[in-house]
Amino acid sequence: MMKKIIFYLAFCLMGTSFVAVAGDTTATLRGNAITDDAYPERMPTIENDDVKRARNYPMQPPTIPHKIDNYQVNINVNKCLSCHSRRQTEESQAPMVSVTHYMDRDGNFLADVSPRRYFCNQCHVPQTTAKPLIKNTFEDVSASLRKDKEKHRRETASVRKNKTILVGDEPTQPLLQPGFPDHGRIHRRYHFLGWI
Amino acid sequence: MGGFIAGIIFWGGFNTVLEATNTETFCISCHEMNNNVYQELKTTIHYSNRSGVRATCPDCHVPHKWTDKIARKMQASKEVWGKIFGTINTREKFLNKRLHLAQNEWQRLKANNSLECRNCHDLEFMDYTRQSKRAQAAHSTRLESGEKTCIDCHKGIAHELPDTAGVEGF
Ligand code: HEC
Ligand code: HEC
Ligand code: HEC
Repeated sequence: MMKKIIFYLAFCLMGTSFVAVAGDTTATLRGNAITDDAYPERMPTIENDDVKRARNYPMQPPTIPHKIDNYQVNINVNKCLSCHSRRQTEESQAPMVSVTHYMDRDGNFLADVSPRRYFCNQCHVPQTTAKPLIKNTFEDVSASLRKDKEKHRRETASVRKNKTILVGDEPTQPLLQPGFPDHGRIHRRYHFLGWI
Repeated sequence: MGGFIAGIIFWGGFNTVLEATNTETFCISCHEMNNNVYQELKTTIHYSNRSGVRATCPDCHVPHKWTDKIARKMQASKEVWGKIFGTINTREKFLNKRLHLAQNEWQRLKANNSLECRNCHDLEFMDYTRQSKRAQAAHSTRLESGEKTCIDCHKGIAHELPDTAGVEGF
């Protein structure tokens, strides 16, 4: 009997210590122990300033710079297209949806928006003022290319300093001279990004 | 309904009935209105918003002027008749009729320059600097010049829209 109780108590203790450890050390976005009632964060608001945002890569569907509350998009109506369709842009002065939206999957042009592009919110979304919970380390493609180019420039500069040029028959010409007509060609030999 | 007819017969009671039927409770006492348009209204800004001011059915659908009011009532009773004779007593039948009903409302609001909207929203007191850029651009030009009226640009503000193929502005 006694043994049983001790065993049971020990079991409980183990349980509580386990919970405590989990509560203390596990990284979560919750911000409070799972057992506590949290006070909810303020709801972020929709950005509604009609200012276009940069695209993070060329093919990114642009984000919507205004609120779209209660905009009906279904079999009956497409409220977005009531401003953004080809027919409406003269009056609304809204940007027209891309011509790709008027193409079928084989690239044939259609008279109206293609069914596969009809549901705008599958790709386009408004943005809120919410702060990201985790820092986003996404790097813009132009930024990474610039970095690569810098790196390459530094490398070729040191190669020139050490006179250990291994490729080509140009060493008589100074490398990377601005305005040097063959600039691009030399680059190509060293780095595939040189052509950019 | 009985009360409505009795009210017409006994002129004295008429205005009272008019007032009684001029409430949202009356409008949605009939389940076709309750199940369809009222449920849709609940998700819109005219039902719930930061200022707590809301629009009820008669605010948008019944004119304030007495003669207009009577005229509108006669029209509305046609919708009531529709219900009695069972032409729009299901969701499907309602949806089939919706374009027709909506067009009546659009026509009415177009003809009276969106009077019911303006009973609450007065252009005179709109502060453009506090509106979004798009709203400002539309209101300060095509609305102000009288080229367009509220309902031209704000269809479907309170209910779901029927198939708008061919409707101007879509
Ligand atoms: C009973 C008064 C009343 C009537 C009638 C009325 N509105 Fe409103 N309307 C309001 C209120 C209140 C708001 C919300 C204000 C707020 O809190 O931002 C509103 C908001 C709006 C908005 C803003 C929507 C948004 O998402 O920000 C539009 C557009 C609008 N009304 C159009 C109309 C039109 C068109 C009509 C006529 C068919 C109409 N209203 C009739 C009271 C009214
Ligand atoms: C020429 C088209 C046009 C007309 C006419 C028009 N509006 Fe608007 N209105 C817009 C646009 C566009 C917006 C912004 C987009 C949206 O809210 O969907 C807007 C937004 C609004 C808003 C929200 C303001 C904001 O800052 O978001 C209200 C309220 C409003 N309209 C009321 C009215 C009323 C009342 C009338 C009639 C007196 C009217 N509008 C006539 C195009 C119009
Ligand atoms: C803010 C204004 C507004 C309010 C409030 C409002 N309506 Fe409407 N209603 C409209 C407009 C505008 C139309 C024309 C169709 C459209 O644009 O959606 C309409 C259309 C209708 C129609 C025709 C069918 C349709 O959906 O187009 C019915 C029926 C109707 N309303 C009933 C009601 C009832 C019942 C209520 C109250 C629960 C109500 N409405 C509240 C503005 C309003």
